Parts: sequence; C-alpha cells; structure tokens
Amino acid sequence: MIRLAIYLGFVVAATMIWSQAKADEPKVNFFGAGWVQYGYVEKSFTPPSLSDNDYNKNMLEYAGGLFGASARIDEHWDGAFGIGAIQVHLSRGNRGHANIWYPFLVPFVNQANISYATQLFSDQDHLKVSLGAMNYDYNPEAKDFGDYLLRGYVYPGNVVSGFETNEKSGGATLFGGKASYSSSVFGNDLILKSETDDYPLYDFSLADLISFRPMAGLELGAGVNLYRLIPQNSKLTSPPTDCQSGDLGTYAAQVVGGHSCAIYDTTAVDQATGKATVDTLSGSLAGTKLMARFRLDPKEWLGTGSWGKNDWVVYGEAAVLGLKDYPKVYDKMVRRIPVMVGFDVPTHGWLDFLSVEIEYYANKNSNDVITAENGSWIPALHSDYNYARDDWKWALYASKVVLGHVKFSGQVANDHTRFGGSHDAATGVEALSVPSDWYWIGKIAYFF
Amino acid sequence: MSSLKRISISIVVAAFGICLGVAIGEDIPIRFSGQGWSQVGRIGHVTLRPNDSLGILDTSDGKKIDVGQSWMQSLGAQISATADLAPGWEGAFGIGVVQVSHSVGKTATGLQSNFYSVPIFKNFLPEARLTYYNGVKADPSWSLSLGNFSYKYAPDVKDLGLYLTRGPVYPGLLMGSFQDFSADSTKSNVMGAKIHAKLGELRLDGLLINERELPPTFDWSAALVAKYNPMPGLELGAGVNFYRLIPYKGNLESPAHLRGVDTLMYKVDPVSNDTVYYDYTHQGTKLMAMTSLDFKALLGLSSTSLGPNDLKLYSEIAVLGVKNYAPLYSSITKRIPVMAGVNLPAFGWLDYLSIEVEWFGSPYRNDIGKIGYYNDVADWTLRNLSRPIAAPVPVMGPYADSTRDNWKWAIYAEKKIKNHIQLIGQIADDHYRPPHTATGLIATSGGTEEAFTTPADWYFMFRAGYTF
Repeated sequence: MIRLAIYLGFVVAATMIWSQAKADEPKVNFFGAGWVQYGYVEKSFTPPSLSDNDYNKNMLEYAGGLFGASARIDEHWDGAFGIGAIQVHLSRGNRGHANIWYPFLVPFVNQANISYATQLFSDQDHLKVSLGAMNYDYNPEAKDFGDYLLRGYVYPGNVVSGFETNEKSGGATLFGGKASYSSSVFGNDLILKSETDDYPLYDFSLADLISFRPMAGLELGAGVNLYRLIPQNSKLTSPPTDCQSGDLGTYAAQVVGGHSCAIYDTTAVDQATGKATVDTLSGSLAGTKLMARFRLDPKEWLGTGSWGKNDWVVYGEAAVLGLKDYPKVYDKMVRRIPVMVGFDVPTHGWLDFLSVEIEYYANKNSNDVITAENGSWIPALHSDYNYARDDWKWALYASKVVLGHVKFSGQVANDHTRFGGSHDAATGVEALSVPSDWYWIGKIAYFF
Repeated sequence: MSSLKRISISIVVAAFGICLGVAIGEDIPIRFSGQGWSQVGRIGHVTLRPNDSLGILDTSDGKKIDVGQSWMQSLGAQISATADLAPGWEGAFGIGVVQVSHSVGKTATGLQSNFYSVPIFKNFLPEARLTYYNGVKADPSWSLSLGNFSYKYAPDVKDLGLYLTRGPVYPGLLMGSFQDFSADSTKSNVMGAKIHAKLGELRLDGLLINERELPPTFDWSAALVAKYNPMPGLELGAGVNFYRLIPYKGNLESPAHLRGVDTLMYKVDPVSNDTVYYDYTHQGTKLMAMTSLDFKALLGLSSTSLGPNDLKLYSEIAVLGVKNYAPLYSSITKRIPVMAGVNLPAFGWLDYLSIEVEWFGSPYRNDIGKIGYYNDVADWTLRNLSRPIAAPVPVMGPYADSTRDNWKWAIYAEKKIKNHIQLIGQIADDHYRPPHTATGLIATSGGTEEAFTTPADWYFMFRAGYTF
C-alpha cells in the first residue's frame, strides 16, 4: 500500500501540474552508442572448492549498441528512453561446460523516464522530479571503486565494481523516483529506489544524498541509504529464524554456520553440566548505509595552465555498510567500512582521464554474494579462501574521446569483478581475490 | 501449407516490392516516433483451490504457486521510423524492448519461487510494414499493407474483447490484460497482409494473418471485418475469421491421429474395446459483432465540457467456433463471449475513464497449457506434450464448477499530459497470465494459466511513460 500511495501521489501531483500545461511539439534529440571491448584475465586464484569456475587466463569480449530519444516537451517536462542489446558470455572458465560455452545477445532498456523541473526561489535554485528508470551516479569522478551507497548488499557487505559499470556508462541504475534540489553550492537528492539487481527483487530503499561546494575546487558529499526499507515481502527480506528450506533459494544454505536464516550464538556454558546457552539471532538483508565523499581540484587554486580539465583531481569515498552489529559474522563495524581514493594523473590533455584508484576494505567474510542472492543475510562460507588477502584493491583507468564521438578507454585492475558461475556450479565470487590477481580490458565506442 | 501456396504468397510480396521499386523517389522524408514506459502493480488476490492448479501449478511436480500479493514491475521502450517512400507508398519499421515481469508469489512449501524470477528483457517489433494507399493517407479509398502491423478493429477496447483476432478457437480461450499488445495500437499484433476499402460509410478490412503466438505456429488465418456508420455517433461492425485456414502442416491441426496424443483426444469403447478418436481441430471459424455508440454525437453534447471520448458505449460479441464437436465442444452457447464498456464522463481531467465488463460461459478454465506457451515458437517439441492439443486443460476438483470465472471486469484510466507524458492505470479481474520464469518451479506450465478465477480476484497496474 505504501508503494501504491507513492505512485498515486505522483499522479495527483502530475494532475495538479497538467492543469496549467499546454501542448507543444517537443524537441526530440536522438542519441546512441556502439562499442566493442576486449580483455584478458591475466591471473585469477581459484580454490579447489570453485575449480569449476576457473577464470584464470580467460579472454573477455563484449559488444553492444543502444539507441534512444530524449525530448524537451516544454520548459518543465522532459522524457527519455533508450533501447539496446549487448553481447555477453556465459560463465567463464567452467571446465565442465567449456563445450557449450557461447556468447549471446541480450536486449535491454537503457532508460525510460519522465521528469518535471522548475525553479524554486531564484534562478539558482532548481527542483527536478523524475519517475521511471534512469541513470544515477552520485560519484561520477570514481571510475571503478566507490558508489558504495547504492551498489551492493548491506548484509553481507559485498561491494561492487568493475570496468565501466552501468553507473559509469549511462545505464539504468535507478528504477523508482528521484527529487533533486540544486543551487550553486548545495545539492540534495532524495531517492526511492526499487531493487532490480539483487534478490529479493522489488524492495524499496529510501536514500538521501547531499553535496556541498564550500569553495571553488572542493566538493563534499554525504548520504544515507535505508536499504530495503519497504520490502515487497518482509519474509523474504527478513526471513524468520524458523524459515523452511523452501523459503529461500537453492544456494542459501552455503552460509557460515550452515543456518541460512539465523545465527546461533553460544553466550554461556554451564561449567557443571557443560550445557550451553545459545541465542538464536534473527537478521535481515535490510540495513542502513552511510557514505561520505570528496572531490578536490587544486587547479582551481593554482591556475589551470596547460593542464587537462581533469588533471590533478583527487577524490575519495568511504561508507559504512550496516550500522547494526550481528555477533560472529558482522561484529566489528570497522570491517564494514570500505574506503577508496583516486587521483587523475596529469596528462596535459593527451588523455581525458588517467586515473589511479586504490581501495581498502577489511571485510573478512567471503566476497561471494550467492547466499544473499538466494535470500540469506549471512555471509557465504568458503573455507579454502583467505579473505584477509583481498583487502586491497587497485585500478588504473584511461580514456580519451577523439573527434567528439569516438571514445577509447581501458583499464588494468584487481577489483570486484564477478563473472558469475554456471547453472551447475553457481557462484557470486569475485574473480580476483589475492594481490597477484589482475586483468586488463580495452574498449572502443562510437557515440552521438 | 503446400509449396504452391507459399510460392504464390512470395510472388505477391515480390510483385509488391517491384511496384515500390518503380515508384520510389530519391528524397525520402522520415518521421520518428517512440515511447518509453515504467510500470508497477500488484496482484491483490488470487483464489487457490486445494485440488486444482490455480494460482499456478507446475503439473510436473505438483508444486502450487500462489501469485497473490505479488508485486509486478517492468519497463519498456520502442522506436519506429516511418518513411513516405513515394506518393501513395509508406514504409515503417521499429524495434522495441520490454522487460517481462514475473509474478512468482509463493509455493505450498515456501517462498523459494521468488529466487527463480528473472526479469528478462525481451525484444519485439512494433512494426515492419509496407503500405500502399489510394487517396488521403489518413482515410484512403483503399490501401494494402504487408508485413508486421497493428490491427485493432475495435479501437475503444482497453482490455477485454477483440475476440476475432485474439486467442484460439478450440478451445475457445480469451486473452487480455493490462496494455496487451493487441489492445495497444502502437505495437504490431498481425504479421501478414491487410487490404482496406472504403465504400461510403462502409469500411472493409480483409486480413491474412500468420499465426506466430500459439502453436502450431505459421498457420495462415483469413479474416474479414466490416464496419458501418448508419448515423453520426453510431458504428456497427461484424467480422469472420477462418482461423488457421491454411495450415503450415496439415496433420498438426487434428492431433488425435498423431502419435503420443493426449487422452482427451480419444476414448476407448467399453464394449468393443476399440479406440475412437475425436476430430477436434485447431482450425475453426470465429464470428464477431460489435457496436460503438457515442452519446455526445447522438444527444448533441459535443460542444459541452465533456472530453472527446466521454460517454461512449461499446460492446462486442463473438462465436468462438461455429461447429460443435462432442463431447468437449457440444454447446455453442458456451463459446460465446460478450463484453460491454463505457467511457465515463471525465470532463477533460482524464482522456479515458472506462469500465469494461465481460461474460463468457465456457466451462473450461482459461489455460492454454495443452496448446503451448503464449508467444513461444513451436515449443511443443520441448515439453512433455508431443503435439499441441486442441483441447482444454482438464477441469479438476472444485473448479469443475467453473461458472465463478464467467464474469470479468476492468476499470481503466488514462491521461496524456501535453500530448507526450502518458499516465495509465488499471484495476481488473481479467485474463492476465503471469509469465513463466526462465528456470525453476513454474517453468513448465506457468504463463499459460489465467491467474484470476473468482469474483474475489483482482490486480492493479500503473504506468508512467513518455511518447512522441
């Protein structure tokens, strides 16, 4: 009913607005892009338990295209949509299925949204309300890491990254609504986001993000995300401790402790009888994320000179993935705080970006999201991984647009890329889990 | 279909193309149109029966799926280009992608089905056609279209109706749900040919329709629709559809004689012990009659504050198969659906506020499971069934008294803001079939059954979109 109220609220608001509207012919702009990308996993550690998904020495190859139209209907109303198709792969490195591995094309909707924009108090104050599927990236400076507030689960706190992910390439990352206020120094985005990437689907998260520019060259940002605040089915998002095997997905049981819906915590042992007192703790995929970020461009103080527009920019982001502790698996908040910093190396305009990013995340749980994707808030168990060895991540990214419409980009990284498993050997593990793992990838795109 | 017939059709198409090649000029004006939309909704209630499959049942392993209280969410977009190729010639094509929303709910053993829901994107062609018209394009004296195009003979319909061109004949199952492609005139629902002629107030449409949704696919149906305006504000119409008149493969039409046939297709004589095969066939003849009455024109209210669509009353009745086949299809009265709709006065606040009601006395549940998956091609080769069967899914348990699903209804509202922002909402108890998932519990039969079977069942949907 809350969802219905939200949408009906929008309808009522629109009804009030259209009474003043008059029909004009819209100005329609077409846009599109086509791209190919190619890469190679130079090294990927594979433990015995996941030997069916060995990504070591695998080629990476993708191609895609999209076409869309956006329209300025009048000074207040906008609409946009785009469609496309991308060539993707089945699970890479599955030895048991190498004979049936093949690429295939998947259609997608890049965006489908309507927006209403207006000025509030002055020419400097803008309000824009959007509804539908749209791209949203609160930290566009980050190339690979970051965006913790709106990417990935809270419990387990597995972070998401990769080469030119949807956030960075204009894909629809937000299905729901967004109300944005902006002035010359301050911005606020209030977001209602339906879950479309991670199971269980269609939960609503409510997030608010602010940005502040106290001086030229410095931008600060912060946000809170009440992740899965409005569940589509509370028994899926917060499964009761006595959940049955049929309530969660097939792979939910691959968790620490072996119980997918509860943690059994021994709080005391009677010395005389040897009898243990065990607490049965319930939990939830829902949780609260916090985020803070900055972007610093020293050129604003030192003068731009011959430097490129993005040279010398330093940026960073940190987040808390879940304010609440759970014994045994999420007992230390410091292990739920990923931190990243990046630096745009000066190239004097030879490149648009040459960025180095580093991330530290002291999470000691498995980076496998398979249990969460099957409904459990408890981390996965992979006893033959050493999750102290994947705390540091790094990426080197470069891009250049030539002739205004052709973009070359590439990346060398040890990040959180997940290639997925196969039907018979499902996994959501990261392909790169030890410091010596890395891959490279390059991309050529034409866009208009 | 014989090779000769196929060759004949190909020659007609080729001749059409040659004519165009002669007529086409150099500068071709092209117009683009498109739309994008997002939608959400929820199934309010479905009625489960202990001994029958509804909600949704995977009959292969007996796991019942209750789709009640399921949220549905999807988005889509399409774009088309229409070209004035030469005087009298128009070509159009488009591409689109829509996200399929699954209503997975819960099974008797739990909620696991939610984790099998894969919101897949599916591509489609809004249109791919070539049209020749004589006279004014908007109202030609005659025209001929070939290819993929939209044909909606009853433009007033929002959800229920359109019986002549939707659904099979034997069994006579009805189609329709929120923004069904057949009820949305911006999306093609016919692949084939249409010839249109206007004779005064009489308009005739002749159609050759290739079957591409329900197995056995690739059959050709021939239909004729006539509409007449005896006075301003009144439209009468009638039509006939010789469904699957030209079969792609003749022996698939009467599957009783095929190996591995369903038990509903024959009986064993208790005396002689001989097997007697019924001659049910996928082929059949549909008849249709329709009316549309605009009270504004009749009562002279057009200059009032009423909207252009307000106070319209429309209706449709059909016969799904004129021939009786005992024992399953022995009563023609049980093959006659009838619907009526009215556009309530919205005084410009809404473009449409419509109520539609339908009655259909079929004793069978609305399940195309014996025929095959909706919109899948020739999938009977992939299922337990060896052939698409021209029989209803058996009625079991309490659902044997299936009169509780005879009545259907829909309340529909639509408003376009500034001609380009489209808002649509619907509350209904109609023929919605929750799509099946790519894998998992409802892979083998989900998507064939109508979810709603009693007056207590309903759902709502809301769509916000942009169109140009």
